[in-house]
Amino acid sequence: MEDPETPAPSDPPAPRSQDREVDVDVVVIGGGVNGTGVARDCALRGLRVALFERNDLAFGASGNSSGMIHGGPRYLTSDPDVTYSSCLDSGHIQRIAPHLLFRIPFLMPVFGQNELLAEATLAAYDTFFEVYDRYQPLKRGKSHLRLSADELFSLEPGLTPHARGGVTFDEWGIDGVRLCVANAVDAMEHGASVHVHTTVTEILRGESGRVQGVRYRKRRTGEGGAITARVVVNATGAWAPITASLGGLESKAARVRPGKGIHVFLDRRLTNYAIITRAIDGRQVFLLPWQNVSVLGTTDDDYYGDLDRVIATGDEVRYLFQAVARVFPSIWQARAIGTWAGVRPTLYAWGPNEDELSREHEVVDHRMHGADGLYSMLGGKLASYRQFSQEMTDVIARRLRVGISCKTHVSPLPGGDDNVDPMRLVVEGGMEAVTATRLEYRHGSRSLRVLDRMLKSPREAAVVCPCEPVTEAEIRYSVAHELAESVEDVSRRTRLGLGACGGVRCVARCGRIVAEMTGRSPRDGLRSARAFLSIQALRRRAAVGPDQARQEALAIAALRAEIGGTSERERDPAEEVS
Amino acid sequence: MSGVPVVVVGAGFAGAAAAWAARREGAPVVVISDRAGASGMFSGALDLEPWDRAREQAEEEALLEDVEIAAFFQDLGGYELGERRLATREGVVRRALGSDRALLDLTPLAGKRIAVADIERDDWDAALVARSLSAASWSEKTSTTFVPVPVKALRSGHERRTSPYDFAALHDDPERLAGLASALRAADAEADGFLLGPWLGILASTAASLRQTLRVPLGEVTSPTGGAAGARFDHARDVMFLSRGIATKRARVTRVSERSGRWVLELDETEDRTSKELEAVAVVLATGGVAAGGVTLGWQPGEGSRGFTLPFEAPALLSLDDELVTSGGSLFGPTLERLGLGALERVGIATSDNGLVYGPEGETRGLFAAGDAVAKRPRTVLRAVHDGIRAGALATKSH
Repeated sequence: MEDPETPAPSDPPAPRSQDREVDVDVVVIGGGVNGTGVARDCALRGLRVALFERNDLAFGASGNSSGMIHGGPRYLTSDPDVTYSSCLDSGHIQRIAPHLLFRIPFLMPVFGQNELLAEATLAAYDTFFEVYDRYQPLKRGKSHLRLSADELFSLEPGLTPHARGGVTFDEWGIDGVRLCVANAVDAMEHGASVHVHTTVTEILRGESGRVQGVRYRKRRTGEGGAITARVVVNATGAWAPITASLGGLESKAARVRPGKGIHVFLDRRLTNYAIITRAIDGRQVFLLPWQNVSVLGTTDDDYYGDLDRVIATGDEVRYLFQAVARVFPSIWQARAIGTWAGVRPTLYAWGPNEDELSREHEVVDHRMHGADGLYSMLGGKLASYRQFSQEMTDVIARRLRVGISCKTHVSPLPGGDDNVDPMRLVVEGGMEAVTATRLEYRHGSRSLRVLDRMLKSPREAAVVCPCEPVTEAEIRYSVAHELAESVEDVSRRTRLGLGACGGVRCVARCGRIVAEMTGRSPRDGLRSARAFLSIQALRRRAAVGPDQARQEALAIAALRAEIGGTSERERDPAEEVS
Repeated sequence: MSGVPVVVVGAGFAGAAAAWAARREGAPVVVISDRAGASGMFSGALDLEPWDRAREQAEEEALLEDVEIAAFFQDLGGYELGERRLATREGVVRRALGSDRALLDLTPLAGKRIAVADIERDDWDAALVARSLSAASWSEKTSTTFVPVPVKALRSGHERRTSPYDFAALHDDPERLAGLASALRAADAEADGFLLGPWLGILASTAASLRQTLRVPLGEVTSPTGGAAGARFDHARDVMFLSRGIATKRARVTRVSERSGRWVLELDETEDRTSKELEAVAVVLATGGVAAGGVTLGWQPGEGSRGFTLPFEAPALLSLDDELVTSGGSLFGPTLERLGLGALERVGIATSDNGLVYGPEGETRGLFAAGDAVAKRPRTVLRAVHDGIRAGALATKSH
C-alpha cells in the first residue's frame, strides 16, 4: 500500500483510424447513459473517441431516474411500434448486461365506490395488458394476471381495504449508474478516453463554421487543453442548450424542456410488488421495491434551477407520500432515508402539461445552424439509450464512412459475459452472503476481479459500509478501474453511504482510501467525505420523518465528535479540525 | 429511604447528575428510564468538540472550574477532567475538556512516536488512521508520528466482525486481557505509546489494568456510536446508582401532571407492560433531545402529533430558536429545508435560566428539565451534567 495506485489512464489513445490530422474522430460531451452509450458504440466500431463529463458519470438524469428498463406500455395505444422497439431493446439490454437487471412485478389496484364501474375498469386493464402480453416475450416478461380483491390483499397486505381488484404486469429494474459505468468502461477498453470532472469550455469551430474539436478544463485542478475531432456529439441531456452555446450557437438550437423528477427512498423493501396509484393531480406515481430499498416516484415539473445542484423539496416529497398513502396508508410511518432528483431532457414544446410531453428522442444535425460536424442528442429515456446511441452512431459512421455495423445489442457489457455464483465469492473471499450478492449484482463476472484483490490482500475484504454493504476491495476497484475520484463518486458507483446511517460509519474511511489511492492528503480525503455528507444532508432533509429525525440528530452529534463540524454546509466550520 | 421521592426521567449524563445531586441533598430518588439514549452512545470525549463558536467554547471551559461537576465525576469514576487531545476513530486529532480514562490522552506524547495497534478488525484500518493522524496539524506542529504495528489479538475469524461493543466486552475477561497484553508486547512496537481501537472493556478497571501490565502510555481512540465508551458510561452509572441508594425503574412515562401539590407520573412498565402511577415531590425531565427520542417529530397530516412534540403529556412547552413551538401553519410538520437539520438539536423544552420548565401557565413549580431535553443548549456532556446537578438540587429544595 506504499505506492498509491493510479487510476486507469485516460490520455487520448493512439490513433487507430486513417485520419491522423485530428486527435480523435469523435468527441462526446456528456457522461450519462446516452453519452457513454455513443462512446461505446463508436469505440466498438473502431472510431477514436474522447468523452468529457463536467461532473461524474451518471450525474444527471441517468443516475437519478426511476431505474427501470420498461417496455413502454404507455405507447401501446398511441404508437405500438414504440412499445415493440422498447420491449425488443429491453431484451437486448438483458442480453448484454444480465447481472444489472432485476424483475419488478407491478400491481395496479383498482378502486371505486361503484362496483360496476370498478369491474369495467378492471376489464379494460385486463384487455389492455392482454395486448401488452404479446410483447412480453421480447423481454422475457411474464403475462399479466387479473386479481380479485382477496388475491390482491394476500399479495400485498399493506394495501388499503378499499381496492376492488387489480392487474399485474411485468417490468425490469436496473441501476442506471452501473449501466453508465459499464458503457464507459467498455468504451475505454476499446480505446476511448473518458474524462470525468472535466468541463468543455468551448466547442472549437473553423472559418466555415465547421466543428474542429473542443477546449476542456479539469474542474478540480484547473488543468486544461484542446482536442481536435471530426465530430462532436452533445449528449448532455438537460444541459444540451448550455452545451450548444459553448459552440457559439443559440441555446435554442438544442432546446429541451427540462422536467425535474424526484424520488424518495425508504430504508427497506416495504412491498414485493411495485404499486401504481394516482396523485392528487391525477398523475401516475408508484411505490417500487428497488434493489434493497423502496422507492417513491416520481414528479414531473418544469425546472429553471441550477442543473449541477438539483435537490428534492419538501413539497415534492409530501406530494408523493400523500399519493402513496391513499393506497398504502402505513407509508407515513415508513422511514425515508434519502431522496434523489434529476432533470429530464424532454423534447421541447410550449403549451402541454409536463406529463403530456413526448418521451421520444431525436438527433439534431447542427449543420442547419452553420455548425457542421456538431450533433445534439435530445430527449430520450433510460430504457431507449442503446437504440438512441445506435441511431447517433449510425449517423457518425455514415459521415466518417465507417462500414462496421452496430454490435452493442449483442456484445456483452463488462461483467455481462458470464454468470458468477455469489456463493463462490462467499467461499473463496470469506465474504458474507449479502455482501457477495450485492457485489455480484453490481459487477457481474467482474466481481471476480474484485475477489482477486481480496485474495491478494485479504484486508481488502473488510466491509467499509455495513449498510449496503461495500468492501474496501470494491472501493479500491472503483477508483482504479471506474474513474471514481471522490467519496461521492464511489458512493454513486457502489451505493456506499446511502443506507440508513447516512454515511456516518463509512464515508471518512472511504475518503482516506480514495485520498491514498489518488495521491492526495488524508485531509483532502476528509474534505471529500465532508462534502459528501453535506450534499447528502441537503438531499435527506426534505424527507425527514419521525424515525429518521432521531438518526439525523445522532449523526450530527457523531460527526461533530469524530471529524468535526456538522453535516450541514451552513454550519460547516473552518477546515482546520485539529 | 422513605417518603415521596424526587423523580428523574432519563438516565443519561443529565439524569444521572440530577439523581446524584438530589440524593446528596438527602431526598429519596427514583430514576425512570426506558431505553438507550444519546449518552449510552457517546464517544468518550467529555464534550462534543470541535465547536465552531468561540463563545460556547469559553462557556464550556469555565465548567471545568465547577467543583460540583468534579465531585460528580469523582463519584461516577472512570473519567478525567481537563484539557486533552484525543485521537478519533476517523483519524482526526481533537480537543476535549476531559474524557473517559480508557481513551489515550495525546498531550503528554507530543513529539513522540505512537504505535497504532493494527488488529484485523473489519471496522478498523490502522494503516490509514495512522497516516491521517500523522498528517493532522497538531501532529505536524508537534512532530508527533503514528505508525501502524501489527498485533495478533483475534482468536477467530468471527471476531473480525463482532460488534464493537461485544469485542470490547471480551477484554473484561482477565484471561483475554492478558492475551491482549502479550500480543501488544509481542508486537515489539518500540514506540512511546500505544493507540488502540475502542476495545478496552465495559469495566473502567480494564484499561487501567492493561496499563499497569505493560507500563506504557496506552489507550483508545474515541468510540463509535453504540461502542465501548457509551457502554462504560451505562455501567458506571448503574454502579453509582446502587452505591448511592438511587432507585431505578424501567418504564415509559406517558403523562406528568400536578395533582393537589404533588406530581404524578403515569407509567407503562417496560417489563410487564402494566400501567402504574408514581407520586413525586418534584420531577426532573432529563429525557434527551431528538437523538434520544425525548423530542419527537410528526409529519402525518390528520394525526394528533404534528411537528415537534414531547413523547408524553406534560405541562411543558417546546421552544425552537427562541420561539415556542405551536401547531403552527403546517399540516405536515416543520420545514427542515428552511430550519436546517440543526433544528433537530436546537429544539427542546422551554425553561427558565435555572431549569424550571415553562408550561402553558408560565414557570411550572417543581418541574425541571436538564440536558439535551432543554432547548438551545450546547449538546455537551459538561453542560448536561451541570444542568442536571442544578436541577436535582433545586428539585430537592423546591418543596
